[in-house]
Formats: sequence, C-alpha cells, structure tokens
Amino acid sequence: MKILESAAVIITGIVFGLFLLGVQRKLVARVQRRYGPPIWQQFIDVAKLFSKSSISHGFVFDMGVMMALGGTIATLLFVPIGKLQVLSMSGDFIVVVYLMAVASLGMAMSAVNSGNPNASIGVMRALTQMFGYELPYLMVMMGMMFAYRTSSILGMAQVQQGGILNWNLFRVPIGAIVVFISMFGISGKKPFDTPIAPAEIASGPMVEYSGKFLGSLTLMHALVIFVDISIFVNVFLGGASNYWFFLLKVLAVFSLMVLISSVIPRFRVEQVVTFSWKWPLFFAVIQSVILVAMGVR
Amino acid sequence: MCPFGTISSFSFSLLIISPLIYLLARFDRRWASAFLALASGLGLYKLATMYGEWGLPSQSFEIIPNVTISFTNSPIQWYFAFIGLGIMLTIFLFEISWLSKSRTPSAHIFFEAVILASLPGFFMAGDLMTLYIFFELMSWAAFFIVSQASEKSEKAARTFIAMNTTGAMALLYVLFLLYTRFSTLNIEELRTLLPSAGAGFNLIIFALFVFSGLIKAGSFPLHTWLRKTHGNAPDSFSAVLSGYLIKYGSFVVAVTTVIFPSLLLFSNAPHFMGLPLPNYILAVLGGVSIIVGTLMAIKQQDAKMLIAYSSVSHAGYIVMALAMVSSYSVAGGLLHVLVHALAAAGMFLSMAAVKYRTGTTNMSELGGLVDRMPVTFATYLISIISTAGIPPMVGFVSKWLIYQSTITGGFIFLSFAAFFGSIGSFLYVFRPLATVFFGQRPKRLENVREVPFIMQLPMIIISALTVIFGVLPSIALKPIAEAERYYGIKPVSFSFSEIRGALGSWNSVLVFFVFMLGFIMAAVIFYLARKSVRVGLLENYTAGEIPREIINSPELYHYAHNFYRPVERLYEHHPSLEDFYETALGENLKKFGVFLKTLFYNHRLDWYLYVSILTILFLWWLL
Repeated sequence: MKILESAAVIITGIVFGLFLLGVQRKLVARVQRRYGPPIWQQFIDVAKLFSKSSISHGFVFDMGVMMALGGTIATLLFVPIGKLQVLSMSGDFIVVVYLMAVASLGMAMSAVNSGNPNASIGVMRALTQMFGYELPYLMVMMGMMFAYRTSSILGMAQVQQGGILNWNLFRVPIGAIVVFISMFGISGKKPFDTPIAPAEIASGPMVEYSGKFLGSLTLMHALVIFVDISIFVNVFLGGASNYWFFLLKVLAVFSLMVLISSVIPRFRVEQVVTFSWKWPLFFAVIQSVILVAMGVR
Repeated sequence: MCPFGTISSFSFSLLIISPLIYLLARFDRRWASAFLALASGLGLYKLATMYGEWGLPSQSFEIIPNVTISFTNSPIQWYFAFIGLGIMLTIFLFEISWLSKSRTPSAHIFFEAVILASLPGFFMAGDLMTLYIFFELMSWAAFFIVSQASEKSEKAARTFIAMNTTGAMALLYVLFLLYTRFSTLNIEELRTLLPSAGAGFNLIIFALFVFSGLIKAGSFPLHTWLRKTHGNAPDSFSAVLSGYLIKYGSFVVAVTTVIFPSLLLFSNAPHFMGLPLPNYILAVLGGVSIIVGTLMAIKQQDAKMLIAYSSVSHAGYIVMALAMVSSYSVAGGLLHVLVHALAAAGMFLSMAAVKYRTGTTNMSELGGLVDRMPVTFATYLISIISTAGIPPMVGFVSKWLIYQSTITGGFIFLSFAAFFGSIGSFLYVFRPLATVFFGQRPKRLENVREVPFIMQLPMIIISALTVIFGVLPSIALKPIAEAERYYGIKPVSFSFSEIRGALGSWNSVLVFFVFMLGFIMAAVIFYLARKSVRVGLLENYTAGEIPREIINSPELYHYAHNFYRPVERLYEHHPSLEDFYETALGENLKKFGVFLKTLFYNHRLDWYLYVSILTILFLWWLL
C-alpha cells in the first residue's frame, strides 16, 4: 500500500510539476500578448531530452545530477498531498528544508564540475541569493513552530481545519506574505532569477547540460516547484482533504506567482540580499515576535 | 587495576617518555608517529573500558593542603576525552607520512606527545588545579608546534600564547577565589558548595570562567587568534587545533554551565524568556560568534583561514547550546562537539593533503583536483555536508537538536543566529569545493597524484564515522543522555533510529533510506537513457569562440578569485575586532612595555635619582 502511495505521489509530482511549467509558459505568453506553446509542451521537451545524446564532464557531473533528482524525489515523499500522506507522519519541516539542500548541493557540484566559469558564477549567485531569501522564510517558520509547538507540516495543516478564516493566511498574514516572497527565490522566479540570467551568464549552472542531464534537471525543477508550493499550501492555506482540491490550490498559488513574476525585472545579485534582509526579514522578525509574544505560556 | 590509575599513568608515563619519543623521532619519525597512534589507541581502549564507572573516588596526591592532582570520571568528561583521543589517533596516522613535509619533525612529534598526555589529564580532571595545569601544558606545547611552520607562524604563535595565557590567568584567578572561599578545588564538592555562595560571587566566577572558555573555544569576542593560528600552523596540526584543542574551551564552558548548575546558581537573577540573564548573555555571545564567523569565513581567500572562521562559527553553536542548559540544547551542544571535531579534522586533513601535493592552500591557485585526488575530495565533501548540517550526516542531528531548543524557548535572536550560520555555511563550505576540487585545472597541477594510503586511511575513517553517526545518531547520543542524567538534566529521548524532539520526531534511518531510494530511482532514470559522451574540461560552451589563452593557461578560465564578491561588497567596511585588539590594545600595551623597559634598562642613572627622591618625598609626606 505504501509503495503504491509513494508511486502515486512521485507520479503526481512529476506530472503535475511539468504541467505547472507548461501553465507558466502559457501564462507568460498571454501576459506578453503571444499565443504561447501548448500546455503539454514541457512533456514533449522532457521526452525529447531523454532521447537525445549528451555530453558528460566526469563522474561528479553525473552523480550530482542523480543526487539532485534523488534528493527532490525523497523530499517529495515527506510532504502531505491532500489525503496522500506517505511519510508525512515524520514530515518534519526542518528535515524537509535540509533534504532540499542535498538536491541543491548535488546540482551545484555537478554544474561547477563542468569547468565552465559561467556555471560557477551561477552557483555563486544561487547560494548568495539563498542567503537572502531563506532567512526570512525560516524566521517566519520559527514563529509558527513556536506557536503551534510542532514542526510537522501535516500537524500545521491539521490545526487550520474548520473554515477559511482558520487558515494561517489570515491568522499569520505578514508571515504568509513573507514566505510567499521567499518562494519566488526558491523556485527561481523573477525578480530572483539571477542564477539563471540567460542574457548575462548563459543560463548559469545549466550552461553545460544537454540531453538526459537537462531532462533530469527539468524534472527536478518541476518537483522543487511542486514541493515548495505544497509546503505553502499545507502551512498557510489549510492543506486540503481532497487530492484534486489540493492540486487546485497549488495551481492557484503558482499562477499568482507566475503572473507577478512575469511583469517584474530581475534584481542584481546583491540587491536580492539587501532587499531580503531589509523588508522580508524585518517583517519576518516582527511576525515571529508577535507569534512568540502571543504564544508564551 | 584501578581505572583511574590508568588515566593518570597514561598521562604521566607519556610525559615522562616524551623525550624518548623525541629521540625515536630523530631516529625515524614514522616510528614515533606510529607509536603515538598506538598510544592513543591504547588510551581509547582504556577509556572504553571505563564507560559506566562514573564518579568513583579518584587517585590523587596533594600538592598543598586540600589542593590535589586528581582524576575522576563523569559522562561529560569521558565523552570529551574519548573524542579527543579518537581525533589524535587519526592525526597521528596521518602524520606517519605527512611529517616528511614538516620543517622540524622531531620537535613536532615531541610536543604532540605532550599534548596527547595533557588531553586525558585535562578532560578527566577531578579538580580545577589539575584542569589548570594540563590547560597550561597544552597551551605551551601548542605554542611551540604552531611557531614551527614558517616565519609567518611565529607571529601567529605569539598571538596564540598571549591570548591563551590571558585565559589561563583568568582561570587561575578563579582558582584563587574559589580556594579562599571554600578551601577546596574539587569539582564535585564545588558543585554542591557553589549554590550556598551569593549570586554576586557566582557571577564573578561565571564571568571569569566564561572569559577563559571563550578564548580557548575561539568564540566571539575573543576569537581573533583563530584565523592567524589555524591558518599558519603546520597543516596537520591545524586539524588538531580546530578539531580538538578549541574543544578545551567548549569543555570549560560546559563546566561553567552544565557541571556547575548555572540555572540553579542564577535562579534569583533576572530572567529572559525563562533563561537567567547571565546564561542568556552567554548564549547571545555564542549567536554573535556564529554570525561573525560565518561572514568572515565567506570572504577568506585561503582555504585554511576559511575553515578557521568556520570553527569560530561552530564554537558559537556549542557555546550557545551549552549556555541554554535545556535537555535538547545540551544534547545538541555536546553532539556538536563531536560533529565539529570530525568535520574540522576532515576538512583540515583534506586541505593538508592538498597542500602536501600542491604546496598551497590559496584557493585561486588551485582547481580541478577532483580527478586527481578522489579520496581527498570525498573526505572534504562529506565533512562539508556535515558542517552545513545537511542530512544524512551527523551535522544535521546536532543542529536539529539545537533548533528544538531555540525554537521552543522562543529565542528569536538565537534562532536567527542558528539559521544564519546554517545557511551561511552553505556559502563558505562550497567555495573550496568549487575552487580547489572543481573548475579548470592549472597546467602545473596536471601530474598531481593522490596522497599515500596511510594518509588516506585517517580521512576514510573520519568520513565513515561522519556517515555512521549521521545514520545512527543514537550511538553518539547514548553517552550524551547518560551525561544529562548524571547532571540532573532531563535526558533527550531517542530510540535506535528515532530522536524525539519537543516539536516532533525525526527518524534518521528512514530519512537515509528514503534518500537512497530517491537516489536509486534517479540513477535508474539516468542510466536507462542514452549513454553520454565523456569530454574534457576545456570543451566548454564559450559563446562560439575558443580564445587561445584559455587553451594555453586554463587557470584563466577558472572562477575562483573573489568568489563571493557580491556578498563581500555588502560588508566591506566592517569594523574589525582583530585590528582593534592589535591597535587599541596591542599598541598601547607595547607603549606601556617600552615605558617599563626605559625604567629598567635606562643608562641615564639620574632617572633612578629622580624616582628615588620623589618616592622619599612621597613617603615623607605620607608618614
């Protein structure tokens, strides 16, 4: 049973993640008054990439890509998706956040091992902006974990049951906005897309990938977006008891993100850090002070 | 045989035969190093047999009334000593081969024998006098080792000894205070006597202890010796310094907060979020240490100095956790001692291996060593995953435990500092990985080989332990829980595979296997697709044109210099504590010294005349 559920979760993640990327392309196109590719374009792209030949720069180049995809698949299993709760009983928020880091480390290692300085610069930028956006995110979550006395993602989803007004989006509004902003960074959306920046550093970490490498990393990107928004939906939008309803919430949040990011220009890399530490961090600390002050027993 | 006899005899016999070790090293340095490895192995075995026999009356001999040299065995002390001997064992194995690069191998090995002798003596000390004596012995021996590496390291060694002696003097002053008050220095007796003393007295004791502890631990605001000393010490000794000697300071902090019941002592002091103010201030200092260490590590150009600042940051974690004295924080702090001992030893040994083959640790002069030195690379990789606190390595477990404590306590600044150090560590640990092991390989490093097997062995041991403790942290938590029980703190609750925290539980075995499962699935997807073509490092995307300079000198095509320039720019003009100590304190002290010197070595005798006349006049007026 667990095996079937795990398979269902992984397939959901991959299929729905790729679907989200397709939606993104379509939405951006419509904002720019283009027609855009069909929504299933991303599936075609991944299938094509896996069928093409590719080049490798060595053992770590291969292993890092496997670590990246494997780490995200592992993370996915700890996140509750509606009623599909494979390992979410032990889905500790801190564990999930750090498991995601394994995946990022794998990708960073692999990219830098290509020997292309554009990749190194891209990874440097990714790590730098991570320093910016992760801090406010974790500070808000610190307040939430303190207030609810749990670090379980499922536990936080369960306390919000019974009506929309119980959602943390309304109970913890400042924190919800801060985490929403941080999610742009985690999923690499504008204005936080300095690591990719095609016009400046030739797609940064992606510069040397081809064929199945690029295919694996597209899958990873789709999964990261799905995991990331799933956490947001569980923690701030009350999770969902219904599988389809959950996916709908994920789609809604993602569409909002895409619409916002498609009209914002890119930050310069240190602007990401100064911005994140000026406003989101400030509000995150205020939010956690409020939560701690309310929650002290 | 009495178990405590073994510890004292281990220390003293090693001290007595250390000149013989020097002679042995003159004869053949490899045998001397192997002998010391064997000795530390023997010490480890003795310690292992002593597990569980806590607090038996110790063997002692009096030096002045009520002041003895005595040894005792309690869980915390056992834990620190065990890790220390383990680290020393790996270092001695490493040095069997490494010593050929040392400028003065015989002296190096002689002083390391002294350090090995001081180690169980310090950690198993039954009273503060023993603690102080071995503390001084260690500082003295370390001073000579540090000064041996190069011309530059003499200055580093002077900074080291100046700060450590200041710390030792603070410790000695505490000893005087305690002895005049209680006429005993026995740690167990002081534990029961201290609560009867006033809060003011206890605060002074606490402050002085913390002062000497922070110096030795390399924690803010007294961390300034770490960069120079770790950066300029002999390469393998940097691993001892960071992996183990700064834990002497962590131990002093543990004595102050955990062994002496600081929560009880300050129960009448003002509290912040349920923590007595002295403890909270200490924890905040630990937090600042994390932030300062992280920011400074990011901007270092030399790999060894970078790791030195990462040690500042990790010392901060340990100090912060031990200062909070809760069930999870003490467990996390003590586990972090193990984590950092392994990680720092792993990182410094891999950098020592790199320097052994290439002659430098300046990151912008290296590159692309992953194909040439795979074991060194793997050691460094595993150590940094642990340093950054990423599962499935042991570094995650200790950070997870520390978070349990900062979050449930509602400490906003401390949580912030802990997160800051954790995310910042991704940045600084990645830099040597990207610049030393990855990227383009300079032409002159084309023929670099992996280090000999005897140097790989300790690195493999350290990596294996990092993974094993990460998957099964319960092995390491067993003595820690024992220690907590012994000192009346609620022991952390765990089973074979699961640790139960205040906010939830996490199953290390499950996480490891799920990660492996994900990895296997990814590998299956990867290998089912078409096989890729292997190409060289220089076959890169260069926007359509391959400049000839790149082919002739690949290092031009290696992004390594000023790696984190955009971040550094944000705090370029930061005030430097190191400069402050050097100019404001150091220069003024020097002036004072020069002034004193003129008094004694002045050939103008009229000075003495003036001073004598003034003194006589002064006395005449006074009487």
